[in-house]
Amino acid sequence: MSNQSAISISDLTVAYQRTPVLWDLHLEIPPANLVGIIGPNGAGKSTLLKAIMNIGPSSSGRILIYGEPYTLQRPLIAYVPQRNSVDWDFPVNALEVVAMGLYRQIGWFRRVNAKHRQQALAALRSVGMESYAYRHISKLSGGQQQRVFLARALVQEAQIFLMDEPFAGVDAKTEQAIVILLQELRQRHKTVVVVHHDLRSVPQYFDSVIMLNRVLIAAGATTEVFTEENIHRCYGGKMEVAKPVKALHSLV
Amino acid sequence: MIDILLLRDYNTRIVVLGTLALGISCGVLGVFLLLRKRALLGDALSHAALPGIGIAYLLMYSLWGTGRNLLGLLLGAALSAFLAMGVLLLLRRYSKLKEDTIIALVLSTFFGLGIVLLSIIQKSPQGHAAGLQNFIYGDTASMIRADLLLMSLVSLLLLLCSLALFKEIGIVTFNQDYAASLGYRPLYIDIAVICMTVLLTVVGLQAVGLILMIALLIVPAVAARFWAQNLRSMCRLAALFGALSCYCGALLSARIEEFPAGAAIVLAGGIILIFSILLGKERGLMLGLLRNFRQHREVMLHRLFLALRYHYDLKRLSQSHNVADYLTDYPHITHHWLANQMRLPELGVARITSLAYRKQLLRRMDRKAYRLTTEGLTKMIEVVRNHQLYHAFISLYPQRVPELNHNDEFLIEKMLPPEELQSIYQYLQREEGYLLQF
Repeated sequence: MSNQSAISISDLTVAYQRTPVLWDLHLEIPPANLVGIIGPNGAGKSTLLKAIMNIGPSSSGRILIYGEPYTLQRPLIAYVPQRNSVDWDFPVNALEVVAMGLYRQIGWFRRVNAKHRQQALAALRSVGMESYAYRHISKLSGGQQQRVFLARALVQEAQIFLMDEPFAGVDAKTEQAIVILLQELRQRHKTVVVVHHDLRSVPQYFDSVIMLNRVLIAAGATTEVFTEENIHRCYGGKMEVAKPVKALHSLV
Repeated sequence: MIDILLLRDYNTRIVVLGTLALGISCGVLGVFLLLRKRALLGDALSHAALPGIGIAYLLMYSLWGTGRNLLGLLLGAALSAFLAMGVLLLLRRYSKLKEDTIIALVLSTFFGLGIVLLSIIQKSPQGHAAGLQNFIYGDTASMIRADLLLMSLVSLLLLLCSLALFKEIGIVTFNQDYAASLGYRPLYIDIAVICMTVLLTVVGLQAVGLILMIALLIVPAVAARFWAQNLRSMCRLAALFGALSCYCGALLSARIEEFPAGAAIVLAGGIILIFSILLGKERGLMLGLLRNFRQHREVMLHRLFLALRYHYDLKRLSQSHNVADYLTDYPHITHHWLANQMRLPELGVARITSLAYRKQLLRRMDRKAYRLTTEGLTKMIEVVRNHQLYHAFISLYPQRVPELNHNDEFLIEKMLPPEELQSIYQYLQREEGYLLQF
């Protein structure tokens, strides 16, 4: 498994109605890696994540997860959707949301039992949300909601984590906590792919970066690919970004 | 009367038991329709059943000379409801019309066709006695044993189905993309829910009538929403409310001649709904008002204490050992002084002081003059200290302010870990030179 790509995408095109959102993408995502997907609004970042899981609009191309098609490898992937994709008014508490990560394991027609609840509680503990387990989800802050989502993905015991803007609308402390969690996942040889918005933190957070704007602009190790030139090609001239190198320095 | 309430009468008993089964099933399925925001869809489906009933009647009449076969009629109803669903899905997929427009279109055209067919049947000699109008308004009293048996069986079967699919329907409704990522097919689950709705609607038509069928599906679920905090309890409550309204409705209709059962059932549900809206534990109006009222009083007391910090020398207060003794050194707190300090008319001040007096936070010294009680002093120190800490927290960590939301804790010292509190204490000592202590 060592040399094999965690996710291998070849010739992927995705279209809503007739408008293509992603054009012939070729991409290899190595395992045990923390990968950021960046690009302007409407660049197809979320669409790429969905295409990997084959849940978005119709796509063509070949996607392999550890060398096998997605349908065979579904248990290896855990998804953290955008926060606004959820009906926050829905009557569930944090623990019940986390237990959803176990639904496939529980199987059709079966109920969530005490053992599953223990597992869910442990996942909540690992994101520091144990004391909020029985709180209704709409009564959590943005950062707390995001942590619940994360716990739900963790409980799936996946190899690959696909996260859609996990840092959107969360406070600084939660962002730090999430980053540490992601780094732990990588240390446990998990692959984490994150759609990200804040360019300044890219060099700090990610080993590799995928720069996307309908087509692939660049992909590779952050130190090599996240250059001013590529950012310019991805976002156009209007985007004012702190120089990546500077951002790196400020870390030290 | 007692005979009827206790279901001693055989006829009433089977009617009531049959409608109970229907009510329970409708309650549970209604929860899913409501949460999936498909309430109107249910309405369209029940209306769309009418032409099917008419066509089935005419067909059976021309074949066998009589159209009065419930199974045949319901089959027709189900077929035309499914047809309507197909039209709906197709229009949604291929026309650019909005969903509510499509529902309105399908509902009215199918219903219109149904009414036309029905009036043709009514005019025919046998048709008048066919009792097809019962499908529109519902009439439990006219149902025979076989009808009720069919209704109960289908209802219970659908109840079992929806309970079996409980967590699957839940996850698809709550978070569709995520459910899809786990390999669930939201479309299929949706279709399953719609099919169950069609079947339930069709068997319930005779009892409740197609116009009001939607109410039996939605009203118990909405009422349950005011009490329940999770899906399971919401379903249980909706089932209970559905059963209760059916029980009351069927009894009324059995007791009073020509009383439309559907309307009675829905009316009973409506009364439950009103109670729930007012008293509901989760979102009820009363509790909300009460909470607002309490909060308002709490805020008034805070304002009072924050004003009082200018009455006392807080620095001295923070160093003094026996604060209670020390309080007597100060002049009385007068309405006049408070009105100035709080920028309120004296009348407003009087309301606040009398509230504090009732809570034994102030001792009355004169008609318009007060002094803090020991309890009041403790409370003031708590409020002012917390206020100090809040300000320090905000100046120290401006970007972390959102953390303060969604926290039940009023006291910042219960929210933050000790090492962070230490830095806030140091900051306060440095900037303000003191921090109030208990």
